[in-house]
Amino acid sequence: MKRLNWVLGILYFSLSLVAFRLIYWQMFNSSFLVAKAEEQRTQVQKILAKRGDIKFQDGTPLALTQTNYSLYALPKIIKDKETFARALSKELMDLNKDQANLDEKTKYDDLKNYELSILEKISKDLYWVSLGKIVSPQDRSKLEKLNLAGLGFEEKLSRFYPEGSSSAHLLGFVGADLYGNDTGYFGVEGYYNGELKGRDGFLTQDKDARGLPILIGNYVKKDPRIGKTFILNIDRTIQYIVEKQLKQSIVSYGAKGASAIVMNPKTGAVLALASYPNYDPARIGEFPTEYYRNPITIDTYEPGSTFKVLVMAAALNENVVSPETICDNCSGPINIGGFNLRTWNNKYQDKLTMIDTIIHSDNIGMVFVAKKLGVDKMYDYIQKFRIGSLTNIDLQDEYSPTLRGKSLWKEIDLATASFGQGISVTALQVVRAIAAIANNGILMEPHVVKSISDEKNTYNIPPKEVDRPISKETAKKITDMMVGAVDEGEAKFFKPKGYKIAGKTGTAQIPVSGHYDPNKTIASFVGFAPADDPQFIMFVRFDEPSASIYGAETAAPTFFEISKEIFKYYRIMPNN
Amino acid sequence: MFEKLYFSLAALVNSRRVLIFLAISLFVLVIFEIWVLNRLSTFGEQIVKIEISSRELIKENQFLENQIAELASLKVIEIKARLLRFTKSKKYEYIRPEDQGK
Repeated sequence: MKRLNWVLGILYFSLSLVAFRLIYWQMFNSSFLVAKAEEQRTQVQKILAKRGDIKFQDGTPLALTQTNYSLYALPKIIKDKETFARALSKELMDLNKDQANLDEKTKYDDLKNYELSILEKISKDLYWVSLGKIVSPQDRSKLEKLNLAGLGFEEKLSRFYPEGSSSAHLLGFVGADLYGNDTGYFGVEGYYNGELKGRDGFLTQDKDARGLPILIGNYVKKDPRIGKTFILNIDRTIQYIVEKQLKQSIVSYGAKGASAIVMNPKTGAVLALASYPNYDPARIGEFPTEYYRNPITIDTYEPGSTFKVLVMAAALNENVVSPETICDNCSGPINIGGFNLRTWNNKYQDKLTMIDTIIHSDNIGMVFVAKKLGVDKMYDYIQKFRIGSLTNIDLQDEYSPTLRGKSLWKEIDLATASFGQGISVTALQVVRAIAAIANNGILMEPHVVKSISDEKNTYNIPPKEVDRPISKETAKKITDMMVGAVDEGEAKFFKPKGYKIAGKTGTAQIPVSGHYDPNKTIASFVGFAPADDPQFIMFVRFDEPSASIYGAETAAPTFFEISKEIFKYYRIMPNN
Repeated sequence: MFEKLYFSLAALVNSRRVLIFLAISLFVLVIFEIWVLNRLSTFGEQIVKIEISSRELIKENQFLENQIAELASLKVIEIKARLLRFTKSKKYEYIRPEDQGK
């Protein structure tokens, strides 16, 4: 009996130990066990959000998304690493179209190097290793046929540009940020990155030991929010015309750089924007980083004679001069503050009118105008035309040089600023300011994006008036002077017949080490047409053209060639 | 009336046949539930196959859309136009509405 009681006692004690253990796991440590169980069977899968599309004005695509695959290897699974490396490197080299034009020895050397690089990676004591190669879906199918155990494909969404490197400076590109997430840089991709990138979704579901979903298990899905679709103001045809002409002209004139922008002066809508040298946004790593910057919005320069129309417009608006006002001391060079100022061609006119000052781009005539205006009014008008201020264009990385304080201006600064030297601007600021002349005196904010839409709504970006620096009457007077500059100025031989175009050439010397280099210029031309009812304003610029330093012989002919095509495209008839 | 109903229900519950019938039904339902759960559990593989097909079709659609966009690009159209021996017009004639009929 005593023995039986001992056995029972031991039994009850053991049972109570089990009970206490059960209570411990069920009550005090249950959350830990639940979490462990969920960790084993629950899988959270990211659902990638497609980046928003960017399209031209007519809806044709400019930037889309495509699925690519990043190759990875599982070294612990690969049995014969040398065979794996050899087979994979050979197939990847065959898929590489750039190899087709190389000689056999180079191909062999590249193949061996590639094989060694793959072998080095898969020989590491790791479970997973990236092979650093991204392939298209078609190439993936070919690689899958090799049946290489240990080769994996990780899905990646990347940008696809059907128009190639067209509009590179407008678009910007998509790269990785510090955390490896896709982020837009420069242009529209950078400015609107938040709206374009969307938001990844996720799928949480229970999976069995084979990794297959359990239908009766947990299933929580959050759909990805795809990026918004952007319709630009950019006209595909005008963009193509501008890029093609610019590409030809940069070679013809032997320039280091070329850029152009076309805008609707009445709305501020940017119809085209191109710069060379440019880059391919799909292959940014192959281009120098200095190519990424947009010269139209970032690069500063002294505008030269194109600035004269703004100073003249200011003087006309203040009624300190009229188009017929005569300068009676403009018949030779002048000395201001110890500096000798002269015309660009050393030719002078007695009884120089204001119309002639613009037509012949006379620096001495402009100094006369500036003196009539005075520093205070000159400075005020420069600010009214928003020189020295950002335009707020919807492209990332716009820059504005700071306007020197009015109190720092001396007599020589007033004089040189009147013909666009000693003052720093961006090309976009010049176009915006002169567009006010084309738009009856109203300054508009430039805009690249026309509308933004998601699955439910579309938001149209309306044109925005910024200011009215000059009156409608002043705008008419200065427009007539600019028409005269085109019809009778140095660029008259290149002008298309029958069209009334208002424009101004610019040849600005580049300051180098405290002085101006006479052989290095920024040659530009800005104009709008038809002058009576402007449909577009365009700015063309060449950096250090070697064929000729003058805007009248480089930028102006390019402007007119592009204009001819735009006239045909817009079906604008000549006047006669 | 309620008394009659009560006694007939009591007789039914006390009946042996009824009890056996209920037990068998319960047993069959349990077996059926186990079978259904088992079938659903193994549908995971089919679900995965359908999901993969759906994703592949979406990717293929995107690829085809991209191809269409590329073939419709101006640079491709220019090349094709040149291959088809299209040339640029040198002369343009504008006709005003008021000139029509002259």
